[in-house]
Amino acid sequence: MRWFFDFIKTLQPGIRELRMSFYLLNRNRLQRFSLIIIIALVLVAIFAPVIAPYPSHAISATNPDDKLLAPSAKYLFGTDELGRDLFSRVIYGTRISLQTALIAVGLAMLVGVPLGAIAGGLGGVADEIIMRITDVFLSFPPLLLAIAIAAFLGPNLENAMLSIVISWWPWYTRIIRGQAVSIRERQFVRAARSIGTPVHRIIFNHILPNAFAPVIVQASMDIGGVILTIASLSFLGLGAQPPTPEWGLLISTSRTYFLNAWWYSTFPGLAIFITVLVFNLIGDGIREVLDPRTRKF
Amino acid sequence: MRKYFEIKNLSVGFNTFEGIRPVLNIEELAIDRGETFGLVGESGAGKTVLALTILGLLPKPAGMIHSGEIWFDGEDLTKKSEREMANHYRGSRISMIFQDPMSTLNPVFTVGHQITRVIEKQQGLKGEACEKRVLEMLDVVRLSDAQNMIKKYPHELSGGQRQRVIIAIALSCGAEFLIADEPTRNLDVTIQAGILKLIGDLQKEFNISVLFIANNMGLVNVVCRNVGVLYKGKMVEKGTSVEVIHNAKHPYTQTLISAIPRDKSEKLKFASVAIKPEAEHGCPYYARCVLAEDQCTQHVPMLEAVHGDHEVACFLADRSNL
Repeated sequence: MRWFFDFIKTLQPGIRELRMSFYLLNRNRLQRFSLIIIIALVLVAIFAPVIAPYPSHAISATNPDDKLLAPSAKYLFGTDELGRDLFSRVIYGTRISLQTALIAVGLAMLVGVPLGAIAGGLGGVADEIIMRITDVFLSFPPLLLAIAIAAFLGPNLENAMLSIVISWWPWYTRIIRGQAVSIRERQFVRAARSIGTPVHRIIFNHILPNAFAPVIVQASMDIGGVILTIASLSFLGLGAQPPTPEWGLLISTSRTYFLNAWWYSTFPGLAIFITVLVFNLIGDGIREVLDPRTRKF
Repeated sequence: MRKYFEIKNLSVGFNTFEGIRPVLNIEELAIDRGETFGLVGESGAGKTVLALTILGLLPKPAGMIHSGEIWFDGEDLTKKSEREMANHYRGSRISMIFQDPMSTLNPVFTVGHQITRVIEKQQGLKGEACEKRVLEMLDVVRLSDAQNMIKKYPHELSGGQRQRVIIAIALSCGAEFLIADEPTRNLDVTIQAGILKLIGDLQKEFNISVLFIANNMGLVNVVCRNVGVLYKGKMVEKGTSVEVIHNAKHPYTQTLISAIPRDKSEKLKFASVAIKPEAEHGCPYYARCVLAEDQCTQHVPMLEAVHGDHEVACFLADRSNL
């Protein structure tokens, strides 16, 4: 158990790196703007029940008298075919999107990072086997995989996340493995071995913490892509199911009404657009800041 | 009767794209219990490779032991599995001080943490007893302000402080055989002297054996009783340090000795780069040797006794007195 706490402690350099990049990001106006929007989105997700005017509309309450009303002071984003407040539903959608993206990326890291460290740390046959497995997983087209999983396990948000984890973890494995291979040859690893440190400690206490920074950065860059993928899956009916107020699903149902209810597809679409845009901008910013060749200062 | 530590006909090579490249070829090297043996040679002579070979840490898959035996306390280390080496030898019985203090500590842990882990593992201490031991070890290596030191990260320490921490870690293992691979490289002279004295004191105190690797003849003279001179992976001269320094027979050893800085300015009498083509079948030192004769191109000279324990691998050993 001790090694686990040590490990947690050793995420520090990665977090330090991330903090440094946020500091540097703050110097660019576009990126500062993105950062503010992201913080706002997170706050919206956390305080959804407080912000949403009609929390009950987010789930299943129906209101037949007010169906498909245009945006007004009462319903900021208008209402849907069951008379639910679209504003409340989009706000709850923020919560779902951020939550699923974080969980999916987190799980992918949980699977990919240790495997990459083991592959790079052990080398030889283990390395070969693990990396060939990642090649196999990388060769699945993510959408087809999601369709297959939905067909087997039924379409819902959890299974959509599962398919994302399955197609995403090999990227983290690759990054960590590349780092681990070079760190394994560093002097302090050799020194640790020279005093008889067992190999699992070498991997988890010496290699992993030193290899972690690029993965944290990669993960923060991936969140936008994951949000978009989840929305796409829901749009195709492979992810969230009604009455969940998931953005992709909202757009999907709005297709029937979009000729006479423009607001129905516009606002969820804008929500996806803005969220993915700011996450990608931040991702690009982080990459730029961390790559000395593109760093501008 | 085997010596405490003994190397017999050890041959190590690296596999490269151009085939196997021999790196080390040592016929014999023996160290008694409690003895300090000095190994001298220039960069690339194979000193560090020897140290890594003893510990079974040759870079894989390139490095390979082709033949030979490494006897340590009655056991042949070349026959041990990786697991046996890790569990029963590395750290617990043989430990090593690496030459580069700047990169030998893990940058993400505090110094105290790194020493604590070693003591916990090797001495089985826990909690307060362990912490006390950590402070003791830092005191042993004369690191002042130990209380504060344990909270620091490696990058916050100077080279000399780090080297002391590394020595503390190497010693915390309680190993009876210490390989010190240029422990004073990159350090300034006052710290160098301190660390040499430290290793000497500790050696007397704990009766450990030390394989002291250096590229400076002057250092070896101070700490070691016996000295071996390594050139291109071969032992070219061997004997007590007094004898080797005052009565050096091999031209290469003489070069090393004339390179020790002295009070009066002395010129190097020998070439430090090749002055003629290599002799393919002859003496490895031929290309740089100013005394070489025809016979040096024909055969490889073997180590031969010249005076007591003093052995030299040179055909001109009787004549090359300068």
